Amino acid sequence: MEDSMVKSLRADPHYCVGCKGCEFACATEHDAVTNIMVTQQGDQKIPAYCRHCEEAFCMQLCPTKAITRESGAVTLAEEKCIGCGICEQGCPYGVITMKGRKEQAKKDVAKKCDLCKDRQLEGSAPLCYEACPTRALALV
Amino acid sequence: MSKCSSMSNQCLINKAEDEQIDLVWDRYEKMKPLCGFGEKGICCRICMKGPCRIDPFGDGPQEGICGANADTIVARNLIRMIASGTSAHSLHGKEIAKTLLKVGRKTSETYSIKDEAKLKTVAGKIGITTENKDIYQIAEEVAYKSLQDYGRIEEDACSWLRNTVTPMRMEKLQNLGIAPNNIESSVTDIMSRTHVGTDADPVNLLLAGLRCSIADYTGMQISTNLSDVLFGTPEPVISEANLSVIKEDAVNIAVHGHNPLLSEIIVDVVDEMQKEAIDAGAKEGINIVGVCCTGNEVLLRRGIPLASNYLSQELTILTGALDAMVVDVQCIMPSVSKIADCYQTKLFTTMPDAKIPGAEHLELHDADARDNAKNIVRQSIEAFKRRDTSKILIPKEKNKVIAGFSPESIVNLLGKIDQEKPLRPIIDNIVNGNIRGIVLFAGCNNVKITQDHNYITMAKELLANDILILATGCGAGAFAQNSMMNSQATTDYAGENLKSVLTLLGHEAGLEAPLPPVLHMGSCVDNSRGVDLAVSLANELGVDLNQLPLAASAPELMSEKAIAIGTWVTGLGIPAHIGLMPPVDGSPLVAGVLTSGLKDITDGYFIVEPDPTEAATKLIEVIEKKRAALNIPSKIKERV
Repeated sequence: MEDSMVKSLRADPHYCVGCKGCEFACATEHDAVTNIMVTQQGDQKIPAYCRHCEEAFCMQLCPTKAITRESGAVTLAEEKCIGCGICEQGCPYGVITMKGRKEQAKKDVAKKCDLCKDRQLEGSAPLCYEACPTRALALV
Repeated sequence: MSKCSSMSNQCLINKAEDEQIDLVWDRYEKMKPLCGFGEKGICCRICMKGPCRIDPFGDGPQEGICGANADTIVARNLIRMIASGTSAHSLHGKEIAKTLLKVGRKTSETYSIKDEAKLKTVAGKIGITTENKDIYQIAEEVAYKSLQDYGRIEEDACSWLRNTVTPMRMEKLQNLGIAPNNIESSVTDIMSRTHVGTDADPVNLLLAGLRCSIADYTGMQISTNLSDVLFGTPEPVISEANLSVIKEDAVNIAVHGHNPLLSEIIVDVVDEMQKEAIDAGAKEGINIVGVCCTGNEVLLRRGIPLASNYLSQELTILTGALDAMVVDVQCIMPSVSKIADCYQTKLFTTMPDAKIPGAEHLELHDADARDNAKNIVRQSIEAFKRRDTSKILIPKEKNKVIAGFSPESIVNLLGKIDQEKPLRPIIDNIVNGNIRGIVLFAGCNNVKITQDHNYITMAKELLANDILILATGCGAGAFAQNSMMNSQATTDYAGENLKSVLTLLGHEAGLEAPLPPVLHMGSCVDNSRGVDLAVSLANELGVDLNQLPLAASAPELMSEKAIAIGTWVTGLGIPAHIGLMPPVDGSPLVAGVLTSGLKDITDGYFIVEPDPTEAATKLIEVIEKKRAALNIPSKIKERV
């Protein structure tokens, strides 16, 4: 299945009610860190999430090549991450979080969305998508 | 959006930031995004099959697991809010009534009857004869009959409802089946019918909410009237407002909450303890300041200055000069405990049903109330000695306040003009159009709105259009701390006609200056005073409440109590403006009933308008339409 591509997320803020169901679902399977964040500007609720950019700054900037594209998803290999934080700074969407210190390491490591790649390759949908009660998230 | 209308508060908000202390506004930002299911009222947590949520966009589930739809869920949630609000107000009244019963039975060691005349008036009002009875017997009978409103088995409507509204209104309430016989059973009724699998009809649920809200009104009447008997009926009093009433050279004690039972005792014992404070180095002795509605209660009866209404309560501690905060019930942010820990401030809880972790709990039971009150004051003096003077920052802005406008005091004041019919000058001026109408402002602050902004903006607009304003609760606090409750405000904001009336009345009443354009009637339970005044006017004119050029507004509402009050205001036939949508817009049916359907049932209805200028325009229109319907001069020709 190495050739298959996973689907990406697309959010329609109009349908987001700000329940944070997506955040909760994501965090339960990602070491208690959510890779999708619901923000609020005035009355408008807007989910912020990884776009898996074609020219991904995070991937280009990573000095240890910990970030690679796997089955279409910009994926971070945590064991290669040295916690420099440059990907976090480079992300135009602000959806990379430095958290979850590696054992015996002094720095936090980067956490980012992997589009629930493993789930998708097994035929399931990403957790955030499944949790959204108003279909504000679509898979494209 | 700025956080407070009173810009002088900003220095303390900055101070909190410097000291890394989170305030209500910070916690609000951190809480965002607020969950839309809760905002719209379509989250149901009533049973454990769920929680269930209805998709407001129509794609997802339109029914909960049990089959309840958005209308049922929204209506159930809303009336549970009304039940909570009713419980809060009514239990407050019950505590007061139980205290009066003790006084009547001569078993109270702390309390006494301060206003015998009011006791007799109240007795007459609820049908108790006073001839050949001593004051204690009257007190016992009044208290007992009031307490019957909490537990009546018979179907007769509550005494404090029957005897305080217009006969026409009473008939209407009875015909609709929403005249409660028993305050507490109206709450039980809501909790019972909203249990899983019981009442699913949204309109039937809303009617139960309406009935319960009328019980809320009844409890408020008891609270206000019996408090007046025990502690005195407010008379006009001059005092001050804003955080600057906290004095650097005094032992400052804030009384915060709603129930005057214990703040009154604190105020009493202070006089005996001034010397102790002065000996401890506080040149100005002990300074009591008020917060929220306990603040309003002691402002009206004792002239105690008001430091803050709801939203800036935390800032009183940030001044670094507050030595103790004594709280009773309702609207006390639990955060004050943590913030008090950053300062010398001692936090005291005093009611068995309102403890806060981190606070010292000292109950003011009747038997040891005075001793415990002294203990609190003594510990405050000790706290004063521990002050870190480098952390003191007290804002400078201070505003003069004329408060204490109970209906009795208004009648007394106007009686100097017309002894026979004291309300005549107001009625004449309403009829001739010098006063176009009256708006009662009530309710809370809400962190979603710049503190006090909606109150001030609306009031300026209404006053310029010659509409007289009454205020209670945190609404009154808003006007007090923004300099709208003094004679200068009449000069600054009242329209020409209203200004001349207030100047004349002020002069006739023997004051040197005009009456303030916004009359402070008391705490939030004292909305009953506004009703008393309206009922007197209606009875004098031989009309019902819905016909008077009246409206109410809670432009910054927040609490369940405000929902309960707003609902009974509409139940009494009066339009109620609210400045933000309560959690009902998940059901167009429920929202529709509240904003228009109610008109056909009770004549009252809700006006939801977040923009304060627009809201003022809408209320002016309501008032002019009601004037037209009464055939008195109106800017609108059509009849309603």
